[in-house]
Amino acid sequence: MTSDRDPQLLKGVLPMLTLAALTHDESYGYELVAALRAAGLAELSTGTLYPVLTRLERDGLVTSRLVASSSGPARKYYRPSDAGLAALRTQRASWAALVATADRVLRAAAETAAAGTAATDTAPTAAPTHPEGTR
Amino acid sequence: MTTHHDTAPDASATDDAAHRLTWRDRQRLSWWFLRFELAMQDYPGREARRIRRELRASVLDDASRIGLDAALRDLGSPRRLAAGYFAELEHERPRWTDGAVLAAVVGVALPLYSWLGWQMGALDAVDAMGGGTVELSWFGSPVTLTRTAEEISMTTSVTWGPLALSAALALVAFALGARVWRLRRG
Repeated sequence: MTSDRDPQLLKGVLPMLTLAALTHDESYGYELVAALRAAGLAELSTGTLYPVLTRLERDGLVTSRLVASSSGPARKYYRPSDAGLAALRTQRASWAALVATADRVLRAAAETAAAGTAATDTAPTAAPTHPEGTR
Repeated sequence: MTTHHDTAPDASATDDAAHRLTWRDRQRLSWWFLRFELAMQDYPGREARRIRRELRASVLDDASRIGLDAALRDLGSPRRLAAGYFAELEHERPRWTDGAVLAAVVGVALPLYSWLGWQMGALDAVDAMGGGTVELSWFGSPVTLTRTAEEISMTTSVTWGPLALSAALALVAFALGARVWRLRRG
């Protein structure tokens, strides 16, 4: 389903999707990767998400806290800050507008292609003849 | 917002988790992080240390569930991960390490190699002419070469000419290698 997706597409929307995924509940890196994979981003790896989490935290869009773990080092749990939630609302609106635009352009392209195919189908099959000297 | 210092994983808990790995896995983990540190050399210092500490804690936590192999595979190559962190910086930063390496090659190794090569060639030329002692000059530095059946010697004294040339080459190479123009945007 997702193996042929352009990685640049994922890169562009990953910060927004990360913020969105964190609105359900606070989460730590690997759990977040698992949740986003389950949501359809099968190609997502920790190596892609960890730098994004670092940037979101540096920009103040997520907050974090350490929770002790019995299996090893304390886990770092993230949740969106108020600024992060505001940024998510803005990004969601921008995304909706972009999808609408892309949809319009793609639909127009599909209609043009369909019209071209129909014209080809109805065109006479005999090769045009050219009077001598007009070529 | 919780500060970065408050959220740094406890080093002793991370060390305990590392000691639960096999000796071979500990070596692999150390090797992986050494390569990561090398790739992160020009990342802002304090932030780089924090990332490394958190990443180590995350890898050990992930390894406890899915094994070290899978945890490292999921992270990808150290260089690629470091590139991911660099890409998330506000501005591209100068690459001081690249600049230093290029300056050493262009400003030190290359002139030294040229100097030695030139002297060896000159010695061969003296030998081809029947041997003896000649006095030459290399970028303003006097060089005395002797090639006889009993003696092969090169005597020179360093003057400002070659040093200034090397320094200028090193400076230009450092500036280009480090991409110093990125400082203007930093």
